Amino acid sequence: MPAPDLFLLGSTHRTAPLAVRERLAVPAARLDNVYDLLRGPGGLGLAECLVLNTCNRVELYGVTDDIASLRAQLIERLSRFHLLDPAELDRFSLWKEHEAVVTHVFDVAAGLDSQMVGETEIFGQIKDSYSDAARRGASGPVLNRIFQKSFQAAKWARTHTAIGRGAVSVGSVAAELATRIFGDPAQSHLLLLGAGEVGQSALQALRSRGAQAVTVASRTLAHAQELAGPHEGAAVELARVPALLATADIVLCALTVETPLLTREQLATAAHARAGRPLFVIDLAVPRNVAPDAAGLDNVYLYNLDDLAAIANENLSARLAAVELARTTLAEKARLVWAALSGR
Amino acid sequence: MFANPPLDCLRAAVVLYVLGFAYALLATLLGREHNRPVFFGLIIAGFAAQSAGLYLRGVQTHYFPVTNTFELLQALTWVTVFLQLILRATLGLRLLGLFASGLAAVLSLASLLLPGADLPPMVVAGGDGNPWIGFHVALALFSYGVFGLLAVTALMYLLQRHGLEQKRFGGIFRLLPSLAELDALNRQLLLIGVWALTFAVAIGVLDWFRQPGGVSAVKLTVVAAVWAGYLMVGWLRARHRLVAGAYAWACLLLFAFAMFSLWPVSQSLPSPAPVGSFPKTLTHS
Repeated sequence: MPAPDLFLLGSTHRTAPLAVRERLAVPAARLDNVYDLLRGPGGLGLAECLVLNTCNRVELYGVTDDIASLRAQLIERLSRFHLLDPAELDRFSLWKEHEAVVTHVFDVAAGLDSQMVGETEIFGQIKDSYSDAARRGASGPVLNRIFQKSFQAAKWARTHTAIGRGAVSVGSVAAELATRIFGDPAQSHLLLLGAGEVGQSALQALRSRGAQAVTVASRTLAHAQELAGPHEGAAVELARVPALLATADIVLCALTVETPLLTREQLATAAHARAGRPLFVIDLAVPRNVAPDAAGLDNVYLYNLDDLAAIANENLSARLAAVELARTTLAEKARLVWAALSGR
Repeated sequence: MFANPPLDCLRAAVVLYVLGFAYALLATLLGREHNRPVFFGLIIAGFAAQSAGLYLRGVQTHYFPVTNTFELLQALTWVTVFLQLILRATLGLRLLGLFASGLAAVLSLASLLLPGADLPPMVVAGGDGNPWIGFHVALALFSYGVFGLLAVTALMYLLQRHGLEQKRFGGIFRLLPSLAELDALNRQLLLIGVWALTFAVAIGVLDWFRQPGGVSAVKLTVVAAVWAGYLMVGWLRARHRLVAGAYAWACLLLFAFAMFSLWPVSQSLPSPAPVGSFPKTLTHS
């Protein structure tokens, strides 16, 4: 059985800047047009095809009868579709054939090719794209086998390597620490001080883990209400913060201040009033919102930006160290799949 | 080949508990999740062997097998493993099996290695078949098993707290349950243990009134001290005077005291009766 003429034409965060990727992105409303271009009447007549479209990549997978002339035709058609110069499209694309395509799919599914190595969102995106192609009847025996094997390969990589372990952003580190302290963040009460971008990111990460009760404090009530609105939270002025420490479980500090807002004594009083419940204080501001001598209070867990960044970097290093092992093993798995497809 | 089937079964149980603990510990230290079927297979096999050993021991000696330090530690291990299997099935707390199997391994190894632990069965004269005494023994054992598990979860709490205070993120700290889960479980276990021991002590006290001199003063004092200690810790916890790390340390140290107190309790038991005599009951608490 001859090896199928399997190809990939794509543009990813590795090959193209964001501005180019934005132009190559395929909105949902135009997906039908792309599939028509690839295999519909008047199209390129591909035997099988699949479109993967995410914020970091647009990739066209396919099986053809004539791979020799396909690349030029594909570039020409797509450049007209996206209103791009063919030379520019060619410059920012990557082209792969045969076994290299299988290896690439496995790496992508496992998150090895993502900007945030080991991220899991891509796995869901690939599954959705595969389901869509199958529903359209666009995928066939070759792509079905490759993508189904890629899901298995991705699960292997997540289970047997460290590529997915540990949070790698400040917000997700904060969310994981909150989970280690409180278990279910949905039961926790968040108090956000200020409007710093990192604070918003941490709040978002905690909200995505289920945290619901949010109070926002700012210098003016109006500003606090403006910040609290998107999170369906309560708004208070800064003067009320010391009294709220006894009931807030997680305090996110992101105020711009010249001297610390929260003192050791205030936190000690709050910890005593909490009857044994821990207090998690995340100080994301520079200069710090919490007095440094508050560190070491019993049942108060104080983390600053440096602490969170150090944890995130440590986790990222561990992930990167695991990438080579994952890549090597997935390449071998891809080789076996390609050998089976080629009848060897 | 099997000269003493009860003892052989109990020894096999010790080996299985130690193997289970060592396997899970090694996997955890290497940063991997241990294979649950393998781990629980070893622990459950050990539990089955221990159950068989204790039963055969009872048949062999005609006593409920808590007549010396060896048997006390074996029975306590059995209760601890039984409780942790139930808790693991109902609560699904990560690493509880690892830590509880560690306690089981330590207690059961101690039963084998402590010199003079497996003395001939003790006999108390005047066995009148009081069924309450058996209930008293079972309750007391159950309470000690609960306190053993409480010590395990208290240790897990302290480890998690240490990791958070020292800003450690990887390894075992990533796998431990949250402080909130462990604290809630600690409170529940203390409540259960105190209630069980209170009933056991009450039955023992009533029997002592009925038969003064049947229980040694050493044993009475030690057991009262253990009971009072846990009662005090529970009261202070309820009043929020002893919380978080201090509460966990108290639970850990009280259990260590309870374990060390088993030795003077077993040493205070009467001398063995001649072979062939048939006592009906033992006065233990």
